[in-house]
Amino acid sequence: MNGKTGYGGLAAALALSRIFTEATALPGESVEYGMQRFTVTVMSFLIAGAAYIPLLIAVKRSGGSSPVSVIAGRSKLLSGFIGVLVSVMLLFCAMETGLRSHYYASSTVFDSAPSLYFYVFTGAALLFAVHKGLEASSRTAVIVSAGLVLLMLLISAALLPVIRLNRLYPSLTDDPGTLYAQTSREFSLNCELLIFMALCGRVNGRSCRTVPLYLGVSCLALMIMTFLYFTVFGRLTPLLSLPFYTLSSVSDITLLHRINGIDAMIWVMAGILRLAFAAFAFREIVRECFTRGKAADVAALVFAAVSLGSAELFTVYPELYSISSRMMSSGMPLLLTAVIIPSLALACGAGKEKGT
Amino acid sequence: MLVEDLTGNIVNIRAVMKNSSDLILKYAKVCGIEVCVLSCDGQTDANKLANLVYRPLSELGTDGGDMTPGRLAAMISGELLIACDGKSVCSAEDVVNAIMNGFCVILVNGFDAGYAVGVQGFQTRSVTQPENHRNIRGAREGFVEALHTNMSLVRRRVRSPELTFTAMTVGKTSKTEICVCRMESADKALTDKVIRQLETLPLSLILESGYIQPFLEKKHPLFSAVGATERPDVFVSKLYEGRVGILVDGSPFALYLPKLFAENFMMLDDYTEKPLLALFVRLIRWAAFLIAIFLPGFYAALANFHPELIPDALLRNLAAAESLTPYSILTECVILDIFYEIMREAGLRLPSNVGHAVSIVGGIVIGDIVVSAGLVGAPMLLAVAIASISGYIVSDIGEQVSFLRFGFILAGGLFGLFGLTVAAFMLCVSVCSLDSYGVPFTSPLSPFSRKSMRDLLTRSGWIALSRSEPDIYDMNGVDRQRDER
Amino acid sequence: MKRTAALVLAVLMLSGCVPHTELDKLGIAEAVGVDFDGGEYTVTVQYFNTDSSGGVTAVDSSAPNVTTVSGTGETIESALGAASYASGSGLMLGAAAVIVFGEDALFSLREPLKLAMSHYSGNPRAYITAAKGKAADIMNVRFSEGSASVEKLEMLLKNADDLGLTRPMRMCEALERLFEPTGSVILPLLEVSELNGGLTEDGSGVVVSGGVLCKNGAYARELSDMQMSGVHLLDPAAGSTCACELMLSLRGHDTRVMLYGITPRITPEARDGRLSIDVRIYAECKIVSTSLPDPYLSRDELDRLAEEELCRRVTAALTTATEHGADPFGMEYAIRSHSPELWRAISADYPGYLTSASVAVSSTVSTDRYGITR
Repeated sequence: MNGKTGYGGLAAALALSRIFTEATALPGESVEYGMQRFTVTVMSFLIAGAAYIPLLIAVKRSGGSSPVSVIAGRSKLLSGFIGVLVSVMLLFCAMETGLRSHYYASSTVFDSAPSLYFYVFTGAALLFAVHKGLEASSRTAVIVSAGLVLLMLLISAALLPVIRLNRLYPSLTDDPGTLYAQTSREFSLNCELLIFMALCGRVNGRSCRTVPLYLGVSCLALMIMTFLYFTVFGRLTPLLSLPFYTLSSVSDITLLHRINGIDAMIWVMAGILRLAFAAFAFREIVRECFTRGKAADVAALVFAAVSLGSAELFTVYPELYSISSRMMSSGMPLLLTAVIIPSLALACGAGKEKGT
Repeated sequence: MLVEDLTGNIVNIRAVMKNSSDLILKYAKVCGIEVCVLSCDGQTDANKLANLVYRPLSELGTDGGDMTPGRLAAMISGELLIACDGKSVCSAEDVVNAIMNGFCVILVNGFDAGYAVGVQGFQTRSVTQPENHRNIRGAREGFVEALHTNMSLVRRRVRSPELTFTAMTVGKTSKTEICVCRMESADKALTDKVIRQLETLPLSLILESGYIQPFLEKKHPLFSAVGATERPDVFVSKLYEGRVGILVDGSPFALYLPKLFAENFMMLDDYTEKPLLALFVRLIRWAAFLIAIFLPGFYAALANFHPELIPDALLRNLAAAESLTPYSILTECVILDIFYEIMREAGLRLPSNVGHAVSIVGGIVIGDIVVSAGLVGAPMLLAVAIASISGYIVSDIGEQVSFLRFGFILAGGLFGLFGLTVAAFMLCVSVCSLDSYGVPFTSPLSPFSRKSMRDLLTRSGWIALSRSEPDIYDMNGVDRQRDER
Repeated sequence: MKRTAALVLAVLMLSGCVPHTELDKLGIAEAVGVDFDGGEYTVTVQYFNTDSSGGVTAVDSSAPNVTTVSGTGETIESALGAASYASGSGLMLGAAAVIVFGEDALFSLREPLKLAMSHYSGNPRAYITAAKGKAADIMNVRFSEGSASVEKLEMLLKNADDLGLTRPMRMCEALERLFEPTGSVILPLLEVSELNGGLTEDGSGVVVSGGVLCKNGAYARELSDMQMSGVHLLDPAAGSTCACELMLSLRGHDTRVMLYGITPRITPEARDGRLSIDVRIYAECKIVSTSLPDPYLSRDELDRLAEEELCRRVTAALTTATEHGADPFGMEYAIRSHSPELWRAISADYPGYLTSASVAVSSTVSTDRYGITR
């Protein structure tokens, strides 16, 4: 289960994870805005980029170690607090991913079996990925990302005749009132920040390159997706619960009547990988803040199983999801975590230097 | 240890050989001293033995004069017997080892050591075209069973001291000779590690290079990160890329490691064709691999669970064909696949004349009749047939392809595209977790190396390829991982 | 080994949980007709009949191979359920290529189309059309040629589109139109007629006969062939060749021309507190056939005739729509794109502004060559 990954593999996994949240929207999360979405996307990525700066400085200063490990090396109490905080946020992120995966699977071509079937098979694949470790999963992420690129190319090629550029109109902000809410919502989807924060110590050198690579690729992919939504569906876009899936449903590639089956395959894999990476991040947190050795590996497996299983909790008690979602969707918890933990790590690092 | 008494030595040697009947003893009196020539039946060349050993000994005559056993032994080893390969042996075990390896050993009564002369001459197959790795252009030579012939085939292609051979004997019982080959550019640590592992092989009997393969790789249920080839030219090209090769006596398959997954889709012919044509063929191989493992499973998944994904006209044809058959699509698919595997296995092991008959019965008679009799739908037969033929294109992993195809048929047929997705994901994770001596099995695809793409998903021309030396480690993330280990 | 055996056993046991229907037990719906009568929906489904199909490897195209079944219910879903029950097989709607709404069922298009679109097995590229009278009448016409009856219907719509006679509407596009501020869409109108007969069992056939303008998702009025041609010119279907065939009288000689590369430019403006829609259409023209010895001598005259005809058709379509306060051409995008301020000013009462809008249509046609190819 141990091992290291290259920065490219981690960037592919994080980009896949970020795009996954866009492609598998939950009910009420549909694309509610028009051309403003382009602005919202760019702004949310700029904020995300800014949020990464303290983290990257902390990583650079500590010679590639994660801020959590720097803090853990300095203060047991502080590391315990940080560990709990990040673990809770990771758990929410993982549970939300499980919910998204389940909702997506039950609303698409995979809606041919009971929930049990989804949980058993996805859970088995997830535990297998967690068991095989970070290295194997990040390599798998590269292959799934290649599949996603091919899918996007196929969709773009298939839809080229029906793309209507006249459906685009110049508008940076349709509704300035909702711009803040939409941007913060978009930013709050960047749970990858937590994953990177935990895993940056597991990258083979040049870990800081992961961030611009994954943010750039994700932003580009999201802009392409938005472009396709509006040029193909126009004002229908906000009404579609899964616009990317519908795009693939409209795509005819001669060999297949529609390629939404391939789309569903890619996103289910991406969902499993997102859960697996949350579990890897959790393992790192446990290892740094609480206990070392096999216990951390077991904790990661338990985390993966619990987060997927408890996604069903959100289905049974939707109010539970809406409360936690309201808290997270403001983006503030993520932003605060992104600032506080690296700052603490920098302070700890500086204190250590002084002490020595 | 050998003693001065010849009879005692012979008794000892017979005891070590458990009175084996292939031990040949030839006594003679040379210069008045009793001499015995020991050899193993079938391991020596009778002509060489006669010309290099018996004739010089007989030319010394039987009269002794002032000859002592020590002087005679020194004369035999120093002046008299000129052979490519000669060495002194000092114990009964050494004598037995030597004669088992095609040497003859000369023991002189009154002297406590013997002299072994290389007169190997066992029957070997001549160098012929490899059966399994055929190509259009390139040498028609394949490895044979004899180690030294194989070494010469390799050396003939690299006449430079950069190529080094390290000979070893492995297998407690079989005492099989093996040879570790490497180029100067190969990683020294990798070579040392391989040699260490070979030295500690727990096997007693090694009949084929496949016996030692599992000890050189990480445990994986399907894929092997150790490659095997019958072609000296391919073997040399792998060594040139910095890999370590192993030749095993008695096996026409040479091993090399580490092996990458992508290499299953590269053939020697790719480098003799125009780059564009080579690229086309290479892409066909990748497509064939995907078709071979996924097509029947995908078909079963679509037909059973997601018919709306099938183009309209095709869907009507499929429904019409299926309405004539009594079995479910999954059953048809499983039956056909198993039937095909049976035919393949039968065809592989049977003599070629019977094999043709099996092909005719299987391919034409049964293939046609199952459709005419309404047991299997024609589209299903077509899907399995296309997948099976595609499997032959990547023959190196043909068995893995068959197994995976069957697995995906079950996953797709029982659980639809969702089952197929989960199965494909697990396969992907499993394959990605495999590495060999620090080199990921899936590299340079993942971890991705842009530089390596010039000879993977594309095939640059020789002018571009010759600008830099090929290196198996020349890809992202590998060096560091190797150092770490 | 034990683990593998347990895994295989678990997988095989779980496989019982997955419901599916064998392909030959499916009724592959090819066309669906929706009627509304007496407070109930009647759904008529043409589905592929495997029993009547011919050979072992391919569908016999020499015989009709669709069966028609209908069901009635208070909602479209319940009517579909009844039809499925009557068919004796699970109806699979994912391959339905044409959905026809009878005139009486055109009072609420949004919900059924949204339902069909949001269902994972729905076909978002299905053609949506209206039927003169009952949709069931169209469904009961069974073409006796081709591998499936619905292919004839599809070809009918495509040919009409190629000739510039109609504007086919796919489900995703129709739904997009239905959710614009005026909820307007124009659907081609199919009619049972003997004109296109001869290929069917009973000699009857189907023709495209004008169209239907729906506003707020409900029937508003019928459109003539000429108006539908205007719709085609103003709002060509995505991926369409966007051509139109015209018969002009050039110096008393019948001259058939083909207009191609038709490009409409809509420029909305605010004038005197009213919306002013200026439409310019550019097209290339070629002569297909004429009895005039040298038509090129009167090329300018030909261009003028074609321009007049284009303007007449587009004006007919546009004024009919605006009179009803409908925007089935996606002019909203043009307004937003051209003048966001104007859109902000009029968006609250867009249908009202449309009703009082002034329409000016002009066209530029240039004849360049002979030929029948595009």
